[in-house]
Amino acid sequence: MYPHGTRGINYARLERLADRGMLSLPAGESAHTTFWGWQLPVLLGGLLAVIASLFAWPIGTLIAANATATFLYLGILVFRFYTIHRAEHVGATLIATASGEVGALEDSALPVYTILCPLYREAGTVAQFIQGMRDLDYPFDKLDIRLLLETDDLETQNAACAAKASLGNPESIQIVLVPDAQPRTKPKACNYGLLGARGEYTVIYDAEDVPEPDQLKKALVAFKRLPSSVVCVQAKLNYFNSDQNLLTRFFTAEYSMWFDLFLPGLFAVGAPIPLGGTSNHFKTAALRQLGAWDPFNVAEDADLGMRIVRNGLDTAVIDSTTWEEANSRLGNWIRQRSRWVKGYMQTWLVAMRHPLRLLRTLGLWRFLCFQATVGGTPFVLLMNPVYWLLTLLYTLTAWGYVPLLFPTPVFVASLLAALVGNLMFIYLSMYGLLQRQRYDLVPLMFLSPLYWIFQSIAAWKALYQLITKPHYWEKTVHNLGHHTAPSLTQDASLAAQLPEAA
Amino acid sequence: MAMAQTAPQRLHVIAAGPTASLQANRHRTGRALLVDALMALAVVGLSLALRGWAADIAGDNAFLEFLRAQWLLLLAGNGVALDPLSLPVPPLVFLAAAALGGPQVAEVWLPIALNVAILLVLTRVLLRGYPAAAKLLAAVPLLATPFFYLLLFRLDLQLFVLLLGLQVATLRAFRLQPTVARVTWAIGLNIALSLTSYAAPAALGAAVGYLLLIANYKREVQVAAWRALLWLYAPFSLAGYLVWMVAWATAGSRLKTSYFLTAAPEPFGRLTTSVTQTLGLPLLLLVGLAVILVLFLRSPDTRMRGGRSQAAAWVVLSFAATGLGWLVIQTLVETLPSEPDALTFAFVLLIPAAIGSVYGQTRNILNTNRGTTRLLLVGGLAIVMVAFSMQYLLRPIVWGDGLPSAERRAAAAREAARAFRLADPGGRVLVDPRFAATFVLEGGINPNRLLTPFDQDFSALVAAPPDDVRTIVVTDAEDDFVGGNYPRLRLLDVVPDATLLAEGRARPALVRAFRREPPAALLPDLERAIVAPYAAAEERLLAEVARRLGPDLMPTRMDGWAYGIDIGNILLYAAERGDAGLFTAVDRIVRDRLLVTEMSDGNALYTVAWRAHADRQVDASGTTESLRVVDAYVTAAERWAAPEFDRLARVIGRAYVAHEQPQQDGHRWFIRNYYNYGTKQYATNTYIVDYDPDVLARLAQRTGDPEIERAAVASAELVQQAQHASGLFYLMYQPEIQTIHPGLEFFAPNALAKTYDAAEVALGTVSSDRAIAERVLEFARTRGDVLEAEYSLTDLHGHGGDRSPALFAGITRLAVALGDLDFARQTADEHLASELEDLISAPASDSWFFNAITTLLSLRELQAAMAG
Repeated sequence: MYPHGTRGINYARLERLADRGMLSLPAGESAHTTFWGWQLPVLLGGLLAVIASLFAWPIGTLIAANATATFLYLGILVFRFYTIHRAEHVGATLIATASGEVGALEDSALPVYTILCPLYREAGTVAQFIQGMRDLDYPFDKLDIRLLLETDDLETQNAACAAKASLGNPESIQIVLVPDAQPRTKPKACNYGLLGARGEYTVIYDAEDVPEPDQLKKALVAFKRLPSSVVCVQAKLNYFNSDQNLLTRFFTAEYSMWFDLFLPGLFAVGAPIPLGGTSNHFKTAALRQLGAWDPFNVAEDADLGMRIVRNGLDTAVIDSTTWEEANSRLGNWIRQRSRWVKGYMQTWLVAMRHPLRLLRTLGLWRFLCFQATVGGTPFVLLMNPVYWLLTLLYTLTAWGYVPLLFPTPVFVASLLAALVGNLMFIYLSMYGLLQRQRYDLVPLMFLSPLYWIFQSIAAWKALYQLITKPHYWEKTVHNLGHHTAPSLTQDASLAAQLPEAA
Repeated sequence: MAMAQTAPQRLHVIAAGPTASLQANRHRTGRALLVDALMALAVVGLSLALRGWAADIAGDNAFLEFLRAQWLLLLAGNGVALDPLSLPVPPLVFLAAAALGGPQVAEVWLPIALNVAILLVLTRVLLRGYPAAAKLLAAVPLLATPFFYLLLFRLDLQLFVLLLGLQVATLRAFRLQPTVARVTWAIGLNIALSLTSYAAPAALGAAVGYLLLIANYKREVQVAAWRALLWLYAPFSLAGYLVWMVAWATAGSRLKTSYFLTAAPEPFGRLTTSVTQTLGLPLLLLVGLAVILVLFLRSPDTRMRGGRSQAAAWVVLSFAATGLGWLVIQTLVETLPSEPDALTFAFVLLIPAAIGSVYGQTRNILNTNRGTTRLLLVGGLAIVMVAFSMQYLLRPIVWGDGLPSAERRAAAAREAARAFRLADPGGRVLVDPRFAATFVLEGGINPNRLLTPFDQDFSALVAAPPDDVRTIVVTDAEDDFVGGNYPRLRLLDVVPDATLLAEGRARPALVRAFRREPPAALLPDLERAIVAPYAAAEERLLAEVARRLGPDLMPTRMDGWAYGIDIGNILLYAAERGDAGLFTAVDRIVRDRLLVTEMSDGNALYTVAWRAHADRQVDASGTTESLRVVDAYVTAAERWAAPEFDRLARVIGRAYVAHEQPQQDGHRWFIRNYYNYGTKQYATNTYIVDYDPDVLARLAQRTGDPEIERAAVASAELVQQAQHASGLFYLMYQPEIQTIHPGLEFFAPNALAKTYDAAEVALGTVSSDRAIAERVLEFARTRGDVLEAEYSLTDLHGHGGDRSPALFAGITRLAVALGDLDFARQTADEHLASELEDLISAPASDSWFFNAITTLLSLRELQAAMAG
């Protein structure tokens, strides 16, 4: 029934879990229910109150709404700049592992490391992924590579079997078929893969990922050096196909800012870190205790990051990069981005089911950081078009109602957000690229507002889907540019982009 | 490369031993600190010692006045009110210092501290790592240049110089290690610089040029990284301007004009003057620097450790070239507001930095064995040193000569403030603090008492000041734009309700404080009329005058202009008649159409235009017209016991006196006939009808104004001198005529004297020199019915001309004034009453209103005299 290599699995338990979509979390911690208990009545009640107020005091209500939105917006901007500013000063706290420390690790003492790789209709990338794993600076026999395949994806199953066979069917590679049950999401596959994981540590890679060879060892060193409360380290992500087109260039700039500046900044200020989609290294036992991934959350990585914090544990960022394939087509990109933003919304709603408990657990500062990061990201993207349209409307028509919405303090805050905020974001995009030594992309950042428009379109789509199809997984198509993921050890141009290489 | 450079250094340290090296370093650091401390003390001492000298040249300038005004506004709770062309950093620094330590700290100690900071930027930042001798060599010219002390009074320039020094330092740091963090600091400094002065683009351009130069040399830098960093550096350095511009565009200003808006574009001549005079020797210095630097570039042995070779000197060269280029562009486009001063003063710091930098380099290179190189370097250095020293010997401007002197307005404000302190009536003070900050500060006025243009509805406050306003402060100067700020400010509308409390004058500026009193109601018996025998004639003629005047009461002549003499006569007539309605209406016409209240021209202010047109600007003042209006207001003040008219008359009288040409070069004192508002020139001659000693004396007596009294005495003397033996008068006085006809003072064209003019002038001397008036009346009386309009002064033959009603009206008035009522009635009967119908039915002509109103005056005065 099952292909070769799917041994050691408790099928009875699997059947039970499969019925629940591989959900091993309590219902209160899953996005299976989008709005929890009181949330929907309160949201609807609030909405109705605002509508009623609009009828009773239209201008006053609009001013109040605008003021609230503006100051929230400004607060989120200030938080972003502050964290990035802190990132500049925390080079030492970023877990930069010295090459000597990594080299000092003896192979014989290394633990088994589980690598989860969910694949769906990616037959063409299996062999290259396995090759990438073989290129890792880690004893191959101490790897527990688990290729997570869907039962209806025979093509990928065959490719995986062939690749494994070509290597003499090593124990290090396990082909895991994920039961066909809803939801068909990446976290569900990961949860399934985790059930039989042998490794003391676990990491997730996508099929097209090219991690730096010593990334596993760096993660180990980080785990050893950091307090035991740190159960996850996040590697930086960036793109190997950034020069494919304008979109991939902007995407590269965004990732450079996010992973090289913002996440280290969050780490520096002690804020909860929303994990990136791949290259999250976990202590396996802790991951299991945490309930692993929520299969109903389409940004399961961010959700897990928050759950880590809610359980009093921590995440760190390591100075190692995994190279991914940037989404190169606009439609595909918007699908992917809308999924991410929807996932952030789900994560926020899940965490805010018990706000007071969350506040007690996190403390005020981390609570605010969580709001600014997980709540703030979709909020800013949703609000941007509103203010762009207001500005455009007033510029074109000089409609007298627009200034009415901006009493002096609100106006000053809006002006700051618009002027300083936009300039700073362009500046930070450039900054991230300079850190990455992608000098050629720096001038392009003056066109960033174009990219922001698409981000906002995706955000509004995400909001729509949150209401209509909350668990729908917008699958991203990979290998659009027909790029083949390069091997770091073979591709000199890619190697040259690495900070260490420079 | 870096390893190769640091290796010898490391070897040296090892050889010397860590302890010895540490001790040597400590010793060097301690010595450097001591030297810096001594130089800082020298800056403090010299700044205090030379502050008085610098104040005479640059103190109380417009910018300082602007800062003081901001402080006052803050104290009064009005917030800061920057104008569109001012930038926020200097005022905010000033206000912060004032808030922390008071205005004395902000005006005295803050600039001294900033001068110390400039010195430290030079020695500890720009010349960091240089030998002590190089620092001393740089510090001495800095301390020696008088410009350094003039900076004490220009906070904006001082901050510009300081920030520019730091900006240059960031360039060096940037060059040594181009990281995002360093470029971010550099951008931050550029933003601060750009929010300090509009000369910042020149500095930024120079910096970018310098960085491009370095990038393109491809020496020791990653070109791609440099260029990418420049994409951050250049655009984001201008972010300050962008934010400021958008802020103004959206938030706007409460002011409509600027302290810094020049009246006219920078003339090209000023640029060339700057280059040939102000910048001439500095340019020669730069040539010397260039020689040295080119040699450095050619010589491979001259780079110093740490890669600091020639950096400061190159920056100075780059800045000089860009700065001059910027000024040329500004001059050509005639719109950009960068002050050349900012660029000039920047050399105060940059040239010493370059000297220190070059010396630090040449000390090494002089040890090379290349004879030619050594010779050229010594020559280049000599040029630099000699040129720098020579400028103090050759150029007076360096010592302050030729620099614009301190604002006179502040001097006037101080003078007025001293007087005001003694007479402060309490209550609130209506003031434009942009231009009277010194007055308020020196006058000890609590800012909470101020009503300023920054208060809501200031225009309405000016038009109808609240009852608790007891003082109104008015200032003006030729270069002010307050009139443009609040067009037709109409402060004069409230001036009649005020008494001059204090005044300060420092031509062309003046500051006046008026005490405002509760408006006095016009007397209730305004309608009182004196019944007289000639009343019927008067009423008949008055009805016709009213008909012809129309509803706007403007006595418009055939050319479309209404002449001041006609309007003044009507006003006088209304006052004499006691017709409050007519007087109020014509008074409004005088104020609206004739009286100049535009404050942009100090000479024109409060003068009476000689004519007014519905669609055209007034073109010149009229002295005769001024006298007539003054006569009317003094008469009104007497009739209605309304001192406010005395005060208005005094203001106008002062403006009349301002036409005076003092006695000099053998020429007598006289009142110039007019002031041309367009050319801003006075006439060079005077007419005899420009004098009325009696009116001036009455005004002086009522107001106690010594200036007006002096003018009254001088007028009487001039009139006496201008009288011909016959009793008639020469028509005019023109000093230039004496160059053609030595000894000829007064003259009349074609030797013809006008009889009416004689009567009019005589009417003005009845009190001050009755004999003059008697002679004129006697001349008329002896000729009786055959009195002609003109007479030859050579043979006293009559020349006919227009025997207009005005002629006999004038004689009638003179006779009345001299008490010869019989002759007055005879003249009126024979020439006025009998010809009244002819006058009434006469077609419109240029002289109709003049004749009619003069006739009305004569009838009115005759009736008044007859009524006792």
